[in-house]
Amino acid sequence: MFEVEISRIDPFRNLVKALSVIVEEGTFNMDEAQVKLLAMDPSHVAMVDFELPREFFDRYECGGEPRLTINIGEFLKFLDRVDRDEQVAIRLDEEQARLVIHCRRGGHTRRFMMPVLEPLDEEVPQPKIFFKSSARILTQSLRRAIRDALLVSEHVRLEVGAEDFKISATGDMGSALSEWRRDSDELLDLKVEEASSATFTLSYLNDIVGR
Amino acid sequence: MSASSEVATLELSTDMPIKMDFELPQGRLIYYLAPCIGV
Repeated sequence: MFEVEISRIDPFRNLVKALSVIVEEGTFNMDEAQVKLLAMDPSHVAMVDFELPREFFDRYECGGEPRLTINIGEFLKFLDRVDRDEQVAIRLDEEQARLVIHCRRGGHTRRFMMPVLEPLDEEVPQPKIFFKSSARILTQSLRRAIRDALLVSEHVRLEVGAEDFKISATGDMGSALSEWRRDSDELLDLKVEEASSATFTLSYLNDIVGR
Repeated sequence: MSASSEVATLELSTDMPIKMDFELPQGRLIYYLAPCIGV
């Protein structure tokens, strides 16, 4: 069995939205301690590794190690119907293969049910990549640079050097460059074992950092 | 992602997938994205 209660829907809804930009159908693995999801996008260009501990929820009950496969976008549509002042319970009904979303406010209740899908056969391995550099940065700064790049191109280049971090894009309509020196207030940390650079599809990055 | 995390750590190696770790008050949200080669 699996059932949780949430008194503040927004943080949970935002996380499901963050998953929905990559994953269409995903299999959540639950246990006593947490909910986990490791899934790829349909084209296998992007992957998301998600964990939410039981402490996130107001109430968390999990018997055994159930799996829950659902269409994340459809789940989000139901969550979008939940009002901020409603108490929400989400329960896996394994007998009927349904996910039940129960909303309560005062003496009024609403209930949504959505189908649980067959578990996906796809086994998603944890990536094993040895990274040579890293940049810890404000999310809003990252988002701004991605939006700047969208003005001119469909691709964006990220470069980490010994003293700076750059996000750049070039296209027929011009170019865009964001550059943070090591002492920038927006760049919280910069670790460089070896200068690194790579180019990525902007639409994916834009979906990930949020609109 | 914008409403859930204020800080992200990006990890890179040349022409390898990027790892984007969005810090959450509770839990973990990490994305990996494959690079475009030859663009």
